[in-house]
This record gives sequence, C-alpha cells and structure tokens, in this order.
Amino acid sequence: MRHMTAIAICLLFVVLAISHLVLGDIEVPVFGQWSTLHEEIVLHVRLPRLLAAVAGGAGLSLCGLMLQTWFGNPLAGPSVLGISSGAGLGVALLVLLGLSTGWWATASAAMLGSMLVLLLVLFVAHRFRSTTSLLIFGLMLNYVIGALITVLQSEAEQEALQQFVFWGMGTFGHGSIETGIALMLSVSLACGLVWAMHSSLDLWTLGRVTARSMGVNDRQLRWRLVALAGVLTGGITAVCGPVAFLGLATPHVVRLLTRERSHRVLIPLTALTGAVLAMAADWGVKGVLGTGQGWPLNAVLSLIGGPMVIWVLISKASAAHE
Amino acid sequence: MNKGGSNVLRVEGVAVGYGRDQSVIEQADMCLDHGAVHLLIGRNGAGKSTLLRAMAGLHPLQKGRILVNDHSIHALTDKERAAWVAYVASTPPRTSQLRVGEVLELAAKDRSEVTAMLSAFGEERWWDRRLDTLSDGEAQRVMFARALLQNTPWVFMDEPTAFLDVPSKRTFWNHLAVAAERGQSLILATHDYEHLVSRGAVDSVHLIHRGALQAVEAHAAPDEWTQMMES
Repeated sequence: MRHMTAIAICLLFVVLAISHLVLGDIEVPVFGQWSTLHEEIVLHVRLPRLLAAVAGGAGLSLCGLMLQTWFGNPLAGPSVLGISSGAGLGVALLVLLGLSTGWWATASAAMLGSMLVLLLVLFVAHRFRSTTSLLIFGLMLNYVIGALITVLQSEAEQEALQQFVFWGMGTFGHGSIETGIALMLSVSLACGLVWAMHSSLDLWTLGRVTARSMGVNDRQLRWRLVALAGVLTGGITAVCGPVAFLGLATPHVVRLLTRERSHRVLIPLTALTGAVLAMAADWGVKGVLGTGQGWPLNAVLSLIGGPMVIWVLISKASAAHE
Repeated sequence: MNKGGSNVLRVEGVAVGYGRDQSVIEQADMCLDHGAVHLLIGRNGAGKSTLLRAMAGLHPLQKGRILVNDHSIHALTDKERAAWVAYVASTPPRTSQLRVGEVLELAAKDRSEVTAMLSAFGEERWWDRRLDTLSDGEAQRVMFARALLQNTPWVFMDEPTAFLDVPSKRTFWNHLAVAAERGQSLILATHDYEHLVSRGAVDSVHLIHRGALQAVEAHAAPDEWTQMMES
C-alpha cells in the first residue's frame, strides 16, 4: 500500500511535468522533431516555470513538515508563522527603497528576512504553553509585517511599486531558466540535508527531553532548521513571490494518503507531493478550467489550503472531545 | 555494560533549580553503585524530577558536579551521554504518531533486538500500533522498553509506574530486576516504592526534604520515610 501511494504520486509527478512542458497555446510534440519555436518555448518559458513550481512546491512543503515537527503543531507552516512575510519584507526593503533588483540580492534579502522572523518565532515559542498562542503570534506578525510593507509601498517610487506589486501576486512564471535551475539545485540540496536529519526529527516527536536523552543535540537541530527553512522559504519567495498554504497543507495531504509517520518516508513523500500540488495548482493558474485568463496562484492555493486548515482544526477538536 | 572508570555515579556539592538563584535542591551529595536499584523519594514538588534530570545530564547544575564513571555528565556531548545514560520522562509522549516498532528501532541496534524486547514484554502485537493510539500506561511501557534498548549502564526513570495498572506494575518490577541482574543501574524517582522495598529489591534510598538530600536505610519500613517527609 505504501509503495502504491509512492508510485501513484511519482506517476502524477511525471504526467504533470510533461503536461506543463508540452501543453498550452502552442502544443509541443512529446516525440518527434522540435522547431526552434518549440525549443524556445520549452527552454525559456515552460521549463523555468516548471522548475519553479517543482522546487517551490517541494521546498515550501518540506519547510511546513519541519516546522510542524519542531513545534509539535499541525498548523505550523512558513506562511502561517510569518516566515514568508519575513521574506516579503526583505524583498520589499530592497525593491521599494530602490536598492537592487538582482536575483541574488533579492534572494539574500528574502532569506535573511525569513531567518530573522523564524528566530523571533523560536525565541518566543517556548513562552507559549498553548499551540494556539503560537499561531496567533504568527498571525500578528503577519499583520505587523504586512503593515510595514504597506508603509514602504506608500513611500515608494511608482516604478519600484509596480515591480513589487507584480512580484507580490505570487506566480511560478516570473523566473528565468537560470533562476529555475539555481532554485532547483538549492531545493534539492536542502531536501538532502533535511533527509539527513530524519532520525533526529523522529526522535523530536517524542519530546525535547527524551530526544536529548537519546542523543539529539537540540541547539544544533534548531540552527539547522532556521538555516534550512530560511534558505528554502527565502529563495522560493524571492523567485515566486509569497506563496500561501502550500507549506501548511502538503504535509496533511501526505498524512491523508499514507499511514507512514516516520520522517524517513515523510520527507521524500512530502517533497514529491508538494511538487505535484504546485504543478496541479499551476494548471489552475494557466487556465485549464477553460476560463481563459486563469486564476491567481494564491487564490488557487487558498481554495485548497483554507478548507484544509479548517479540516485539521475540526479533526483536532473532535479528537480532543473523545 | 562497564564502560571504564570507577564504576559509580557521584553527585558532588550539587545545587539544582530554575534560573540562576532559585534552587529546588541546595545541597546534594551521594555516591551510587553500579548494577543496583536506587530510589529518590520525597513529597510532591520536593525536587525529585529536577535532580533526576540533572543526574541524567538533561538539566543544568547551579553548582557542583555529577560524575558518571569519572566523567562529568554535563561535559559529554549529547551522543556520548546517550551511550551512558537513558532517561524515561514522567509523562509519555502523547502526540507522536510513530509506530511502536519505529520508536524502538530508534533506540535499538537492530530489528531483532526490538522483536526480542517486545516479546519479553509480551506485546508483539504492538509493533504496528501508533504511539498516539496507545493509552498513557501503554505508551509509558513503550518508553521503558525504549530506554532498556538504549542499553546504557545507567537508566533514570521519573515516576515510571504512575500510569500503570497493577499487573503491568508487576511486570515492570520484574523487568527492573532483570535489568539490574544484567548489570544496568536503575535510578527511580517515585512515590510507588512499597512493593519494591518489600521485595528487598532496592539497594539505596535517598530522601529529598526541604531542599536537602539525605541517605536513608534502604530496608527500613517505608512508614518511617513518610514520617520524615512530614517532619
């Protein structure tokens, strides 16, 4: 059963990836000769978008899984805890103050922003006894950072403002082939590093003291989490803009699909499912539903993610009543 | 089981508590032999759990030092410490969704050890059960089995029988005796000592009272200890 789920997700991954490369206004043949136009479309339009969707989906979902495990909170995620907003603030400072718009500068600012917010969250997290308080703290952070960004926007030059608003809508379609490859490589490396922590993450579910008694260095684990979640959320947000719900919802989709709870299995499955969900959502964005124009990415993701959060809340509440 | 050094655990001039000055125990000195069962007793809030966690190297000391076979337990890395001491917390994990087999495999060297441990507990059917579907008592027994599988010379247990039913307690005492015979040293912070004492299974008892630690006669009547706690 476990293998069936993994095989099904792999198949979906391949089908969606190929569909994104070959289908569209101009169809590209899977087998057969490609014209220069075909090459141009695939290499410079569809492949960068596909790489951004796969890397973005996998990376944000892994972040969600790591954060949910670390905080022991099923509703933790990069967008919920304000980490994506932190990345957004980093980008806003850079773009709206007219400092730089280069990819590396944007990515660094986004990573720094998300790491600083995550550090703040980690700093205050142990003061909260209830997991709900942590989520409310994240919500407030989102408001405050959102307000700061609005202030920056009101002070910004017209051109910078346009650029920022465009970025802020969130899409997998803004990057170039270079940024797509860079993002894919960083996310693959980060996936490997997260996977190397699978035993520690399993032990962490047994509680901090027990995990430490079994050899987990909690400080080291925390710093790795900050670095990885910061790099992943920052890098992805820099390229794709703020992407809602993917990080929070994917681990729950995986938990619905499989009974496996060991991180040895959860990590690759979550990355893969995240990529599949991102590619599926991107068909909504491209307008597969026949609406022509397509829907904004965050609208599509919120339509999936919002009900998911409500479902988790309801199932948690009914479990508490039992 | 012997990992070298003098085969004892020494607590020397230890103060433990929370923050820099708020001490729960102001002065603790003791020397525990290896391969024996030791009890830490005291009233609720006396500081048993804090001292026990400190002895396992999982809580910082305000002063003094704790030596396990001549090594300062607080100077070891987490990995090194996990080879010397195992620890069972007073409350079992409630939210982990790992399967029992997976939890035990995290502590064991290989799968056959886990199988042997589960059959020693008479609970082979637990392998596939998720930890969050077990009762507190069942989960606590899994955590005890997990600590034994860590195969350390010293095992610390905080209220290990708090959630157990009477038959499970009996099995627990038996496992304790087997572990001690195998050469493991077991240190228990517990209120549930009468049965152990009546079996003559206890080698030392230390009472924590009013912030101080004192050794009491291990074979005395527990009633005397109760009177000392009330004094």
